[in-house]
Formats: sequence, structure tokens, C-alpha cells
Amino acid sequence: MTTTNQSPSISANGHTLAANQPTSTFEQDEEFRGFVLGTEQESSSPLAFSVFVAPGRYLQLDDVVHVRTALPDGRAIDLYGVVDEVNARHEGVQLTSDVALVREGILPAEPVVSAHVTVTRVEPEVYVPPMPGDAVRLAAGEARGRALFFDAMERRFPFGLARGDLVNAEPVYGNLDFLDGRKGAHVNISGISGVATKTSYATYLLYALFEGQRLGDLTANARALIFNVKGEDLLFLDHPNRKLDDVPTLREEYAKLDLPARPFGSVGFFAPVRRGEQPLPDTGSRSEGVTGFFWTLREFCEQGYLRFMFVDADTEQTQIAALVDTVTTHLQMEVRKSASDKMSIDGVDVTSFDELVDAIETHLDIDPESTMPSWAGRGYGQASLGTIRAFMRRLQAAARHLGHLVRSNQFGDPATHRIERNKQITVVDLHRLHDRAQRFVVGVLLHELLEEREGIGASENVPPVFVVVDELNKYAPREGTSPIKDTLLDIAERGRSLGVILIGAQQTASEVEQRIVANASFRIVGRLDTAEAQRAEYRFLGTTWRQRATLLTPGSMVVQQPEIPVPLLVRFPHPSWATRKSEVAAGSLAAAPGGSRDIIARFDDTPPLD
Amino acid sequence: MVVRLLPWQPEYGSGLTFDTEDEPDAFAPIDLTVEHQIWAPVTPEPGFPTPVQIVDGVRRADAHALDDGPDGTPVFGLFGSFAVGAVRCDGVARILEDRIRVERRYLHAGESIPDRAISSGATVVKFTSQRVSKGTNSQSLVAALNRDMLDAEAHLAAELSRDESVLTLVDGPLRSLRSPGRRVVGYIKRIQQWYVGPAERELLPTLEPGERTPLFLISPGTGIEQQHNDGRYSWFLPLRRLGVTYHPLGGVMRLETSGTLPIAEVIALADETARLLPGLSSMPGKDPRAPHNLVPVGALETVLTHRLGDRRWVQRLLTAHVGREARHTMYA
Repeated sequence: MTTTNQSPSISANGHTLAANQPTSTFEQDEEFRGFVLGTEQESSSPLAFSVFVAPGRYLQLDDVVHVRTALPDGRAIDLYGVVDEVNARHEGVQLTSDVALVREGILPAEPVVSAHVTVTRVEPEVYVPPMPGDAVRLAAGEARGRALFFDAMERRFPFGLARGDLVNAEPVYGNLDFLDGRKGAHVNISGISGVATKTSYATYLLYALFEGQRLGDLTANARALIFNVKGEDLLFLDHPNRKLDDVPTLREEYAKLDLPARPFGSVGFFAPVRRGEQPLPDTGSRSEGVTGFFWTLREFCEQGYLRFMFVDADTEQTQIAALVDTVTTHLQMEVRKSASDKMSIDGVDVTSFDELVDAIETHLDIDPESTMPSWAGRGYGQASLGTIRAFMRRLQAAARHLGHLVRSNQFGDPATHRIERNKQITVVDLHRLHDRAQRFVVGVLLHELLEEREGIGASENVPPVFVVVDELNKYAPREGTSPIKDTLLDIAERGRSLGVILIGAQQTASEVEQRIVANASFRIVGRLDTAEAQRAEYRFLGTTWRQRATLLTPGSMVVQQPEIPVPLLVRFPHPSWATRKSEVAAGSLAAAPGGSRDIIARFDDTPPLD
Repeated sequence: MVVRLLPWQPEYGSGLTFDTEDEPDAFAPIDLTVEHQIWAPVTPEPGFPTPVQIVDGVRRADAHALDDGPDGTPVFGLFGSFAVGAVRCDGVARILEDRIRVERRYLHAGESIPDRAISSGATVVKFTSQRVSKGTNSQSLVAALNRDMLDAEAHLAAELSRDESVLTLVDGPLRSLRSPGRRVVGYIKRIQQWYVGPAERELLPTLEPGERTPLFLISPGTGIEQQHNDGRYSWFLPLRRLGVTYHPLGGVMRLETSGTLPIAEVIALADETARLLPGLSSMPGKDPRAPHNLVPVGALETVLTHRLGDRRWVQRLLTAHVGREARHTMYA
């Protein structure tokens, strides 16, 4: 009983692909991979089908394939898909030990390979299954672009290279409209610290956008704010990486992505001022070109930054929050009574954060005999003694860690120690700050950014600001509320219209506020912990990718984007900028002003002040 | 008295179908001394298993039918399919794909009934009309289908056996092959008669895999297979140790080859089978007819059955075809 398929002759890319053509013709077709399967277990459907991989050919995970099937009226339907599983077996063999018999030459059985394909695109949109026996070809070049919707992306940026050797690797693109706020915004990156290379990838994305000029006219005025929280990874962005010279293929990889291979061109570095009387930046191995930043006491009181000192997730649920608000209001009233260049309370100048704390404590005295006006309220509204004590405990603890970031208006020249986003990339180095101080700085900066953006108003031509925040689980944990979490939620939900784009990262998305993760147009996953990969937050990965995500190596990420129904694996090139001092290409540091003087390097190993 | 099991699964019957009351001398004359004077185990020289090819076939009754003959007498019909093929083990086991033949018949006792080609989409299934002279009941039609299959097997075996570099094994008693090669052996899975007497049979449970009984000659015109005019050489060998659960006679196989061959060649063939067959035999639990259904043959049967087409699909095709035809004839 022979089956002859009489479907009409169809042609794809110059090759005749009739189902009834002799198999020998396919041998000359380099892209031919096999035939669509139609068994009971592996039936074909419009959304997924299996392929019998022809002997002598192979398909691997992530291969992009194309099938042309014919409707009864002869119209051709093109189905594109991505291989997400490949299976090999001895056909007809059922028992475990049979494999030994096959090897001994006793049991006849042929190894067969089948691959499972998830359909990504159907052109035109007639959702019929490809017919069993239809030829499956590897989609390369234009066909691959169609399979992955790259052809429909008017503005696109390179996510990285698809897996494969460098010669054959092709770029994987993302649709910029979904990144810069036109149709969507925000990126969320998950993965184990150290292995998942989350920060490196976020930096790569910024590089692709800024140095790759992918933002078009807005590139010049677009900005990025990135926090350096671990090590000194981001403090040498403006220096070329020595690997550009040492690894010959690195430049080719950048060329494949149509990106230059060089350091970032426009970077401003900021670090908190050190304790003591000099407004010097508190950094490690780099001091040149780094601006020390602090806020003045007056700014602190005027802008109500006090609340960013109370960042524990539970703060909002307690009476402390009410007291923070009351104290903030009183401080703002005192600002109005002060001379324009100083901060005074009750007419007495406050010149340090400790003095401010003392003043607050004095005003919270609820002794009924006291003559001072109490900020703790009177009568029913009065804060309890317990609340006041808890408030003071937290304030004093915070003051220990970040009091040096809020200085008198007479400390140095405050105007030259603000974080200005006048360079394309603004790096704020927090790695030597205590956790509580880190959260204060991030909270204040994000708040400032949002305020500023709200003033400008929404428009398509407002250049976007990208904010990279790692450890989102610390700033926007799933449980509880805090001022920073509110700010981040605000960015996630309204940032798109304000041109504030959040590139958030965390080890575990399951510990981050769901709405922040859900609002990200692009979800990216590096290597995941096995248990974490099974959480509902990664359902978008599908079964196979959840498994594979636990095996990803540094430099490989899985990208899910709105237009493509399957996650894609990308490799991004090794940074062309230095990620530590030892990587800085020879000659680059010396050329930089003050490069040979490295007076602060000896503090390198000092642990962050506690 | 020790009760032990016979290894075949009961739905395949039993591997031993002889009658314990059969008189041994009913099958005389048998010559037990063609190889040795004494009836004792023969242990062939050790050696590598020979390349072998095994021919087999499968058949299937697809649908029984009943036709009203011209004079009103009922005429039985049978739609049946069979496939024959061969598997070759010469270091690698493989099905000889290009030798597989699939045939379909409409067997009947009627007159001038045409072939039936049933098409479904691009597929055409053709049942060749074949008159069976004594097809007066349905069993005889099934037997006729079986004969057709055996003929096809014999035809294939004769053809393949001309390659004498390989040992050719044929399923069942050796039938008359048209000009076969000299290295053809028939293997009998189901023992219906022993040919040898009770005293000689006592040797069988004591044999180890790799050993065999001496050859014996079954004279022409003896036994069930009347057509062997030249007689047949035959021998027994155990296929594998089955353990205490199973009776050792349950693991014995009888083989035979043409009586016209020189005795030296027959001895060589018998030795080859003793070296080869234990390795090809199947294990109880893996095959319902273990150890007799050889492993390559089990795989061949699966492939051949598969080539017959899905049973329900063929039946469905027949139902539709016959139904349309009947409606057309009866209501036209």
C-alpha cells in the first residue's frame, strides 16, 4: 500500500517542494531537514507540529524552520516555527534492554529522530495544520526574519546573537516600539547572581541603544541612570576592554550585531561623598572623573526625603508612617522660615544631620510640661510613646548609615555635587554604602526623576530615560509597601507615558511585586535556580525553557518579547568596555586625567561602612 | 511429579501440541543412525554465529463476506491481506525492505468475480479476486489465504537462498522450494509430533544451549508433509535455559533440511544452527511465543503487520466500499 500525495506542485525560494517529488531531490537542497509527521502521537496542528528528521540531516533546539503547505484550492500557506524539542529513538523498540540486542545485530531497528516545532507565524493567516509529508526546511536569512517577525519591526535593536558558531550566528532583534514607550516599555531580567550576568546584559542593552544609535533622533538626548551596587563593574564603562585586542572574534561579534566595538562615549560617574570634611567621592579603584554627591539639609527637608529613610516594607502599615508625614510637614514649614541658603529650625541653624536628628527628637517630646510645640501632635492625634521611640530608633539607625549624604548648605559647593544627568549614561556608585543608605539614594533619585518627568508632560518626542535597577526584590518586594516600592510601581505603570523606562533585574521574580514584572514588555531570563524556574512567574517560558533556563551559561539569555510567541535564546558579546580596572586596555587609563594617581585604591578592600 | 509451565502465552496456544497417546512407531520409518550410531548429545565446535536471513510472513482476515450466488445459494467470501519479508543478521540486524511484498485477496468460491480496487484519497487498496475451489466454508478460505502466504514465503526463500554465503531460515516445515540454494533450514516452532521415540526424547531435557541431538532421517512420504519425496534430515536443539519454572521441553526447537543434501553439508548446517539460534531466541516476558519466536522475526512480523495497513482503517475502507456498492445495486 503506497501513499501518493497529489498536492499541487509548490515552490519556495526557487526550490520545488511538491510532497510527491522523489526524496532524492531533497538531497540537493541544503536547507531541507525532513518531513512533517502525522502519527497518532505526533499529529500536526496549526500551532505545533513534529518533523521526521531525514537521515543525514539534523535539527537542533532553537533552529528556525519553514514549511509550505497547500490549501485544497492550491494557495500556499507558509508556516514558520522554532524547534523546541528533539527526540531520538529506536523505531519499534519497546523494551529497555532491546537496545543491546540492536547493537548485537540481533534485533533490527533503525534510530529515528523527530523534532517538535512551535509555530511562530502563519502567512497568510489561514490556520491549517501543515500536511504530514510536507517538506520542512531550515529558515535562513529573510525566511528566518519572517519567522521571528523581524521584518515587521520598523525600529529594532539587537538583543544579541542566536546560538551557533560565529560565522553562522544571526542577530536576534527586539522591537524598539515596545521598549521606548510607543507600544510598550520596560525590561525585566531574572537570574542567579554571578552566573546570569544580569547587570552585564542590562549594560549591553544600554550600549546597543546608545552607542548603536538605535534610538534615532532621540539618541542624543536620551539618558540612562544605572546604579553600581556590587563591585566596581560599572566604573570603567568609558574605557575600552583589553579583550577587544586579545580576543580577535570579539570585534566580529559586534560587527554581526551592527554595533561599534568601543567603550561608552558619554558617561558621568557619581559616588557618595566620604565622611569627613572634604567633599571627596567615596569610591574604590577609580577616583578620577567621579563626582562626589550629597544633598543639602535644606533640600532634604524641603523635598520630604525623610520618608526615604524609612524604607522597611512594613513601615507604611504602622503608626510610624503617620509620624513620618507629620514630621516631614513640620520640617517643610521650618524650611519656609529659614534663610534661602541655609536650614534652621526655630531660628537655630542646623549644620549637620546629627543636629537635625536632635532637633526632631526635641520636637517629639510629649512631656505635657514641655513648652516646645510638639510635632507628635496633641490630644487624640498624638503619637504614642512607643511609636515615637520606634521612629527615633529607626531615624538614628538610618542617620548612622547615611547621615553623611545630607550636609549643610555650606559644605563645599552643593551645586557641583548634585547628580546631574548631563551625560548619556549616569552611573551612581553605591557599592560602598550600607544597604539602608543604598535604598535611600535609589528612592530619592527615582523620585526626583519621576517628579521632573511629570513636569515635562507626556509626548512621543520626549527622549526616554532608562533606569537600571538591580535587586528589585529589595526595592519592590512582593509583600508590603514602602515609598520606593510606590515609586517603582509608579514607573512600571505610568513610566511608559512619561518616558521613564525601567530595566529591572532580580534573582527571583517570584519575590518581586507582580505588577512590576507584569508590566515589562520584555522578559529576560539568565540562568535560573531549579526550584525558582518552576514558579508561576516563568510560565511564559514553557516547559522546555524552564528546564533549559537552569543550564544557561554566562552570556546566554532567554528573551521573551511581545510579538514572538516563543522565547528565544541569545548570546551577547563580551563587553567592549572594561568591567574592572584590570580589564582596561593598555594605555587607556594613563591617557585619562589623573590616571596614574590612584590614591584611593588602597581602600579597595575596605568593607562598606556599617 | 513436578508441575512446570510451558513458556508460550496461552492466546497463542501451546508450543507443544503433540498427543501423549500417539504411538511412536506410527511415524516409522525414522533412521536415527545417519550421523552417529549412539543417540547422545552433539556439541559442535565453537565458532562465530553465521550470517543468517530469516523469511517470514503475516496474514490477516480483513472481513468475511457472503454473496448471494446466481441460483440463490450462499457463496462465502474473504477479504484478506498478507505480507512476506525477510530479516538479515550479519553483524547488523536489518529488514530487507526491498523484499517486502504486500498482497490483498478477495477469496471466494464464486465465478468470474472481478478484482476490487478501493480508492481513498490518493491511496488505492486492491483486493485481487481469487477463486478457491473448495471454498465452501469460511475456514477453508482462511486456510487458502494462509496457503497463499506460505507460497509467497517459499518463493521468497527460494530466491534469497540462492545467496549461499548466508544461512536461510524458513518458518515452519520445509516446503518444496523451487530450485533453492543448498543452505536452507526450516525451523518448527510448534511441535506436533516428535518423530523420535520416548527413549530418544529423554535426551532432550538434558541438552544445553549450543548442543543438539544427532541428525535423524525422516523417510519420504512420512508424516504430515506428504510432498517431501526425498525425505528430510531433522534434529532438535534447546534454545535457552528457562529456569526451573518452565519445563525444558518447552524450550526445544526442531529443525529440518532437505534429504537430498550430502550428509556432511547437513552436519555443518545443523552445527551452525546450534551455535546461532540460542542467541536469536527470545526471552519469556518479552515475546508471547518465547523462546521460539526469534527476536529478529518478532521485529520483522511487527514491520510486516504494519505494512498491512491499520486494521481499523482497512475495515472502514471495506465497509464504505461494500456499502456504497450494495446501496447502488439494491436501490438503483
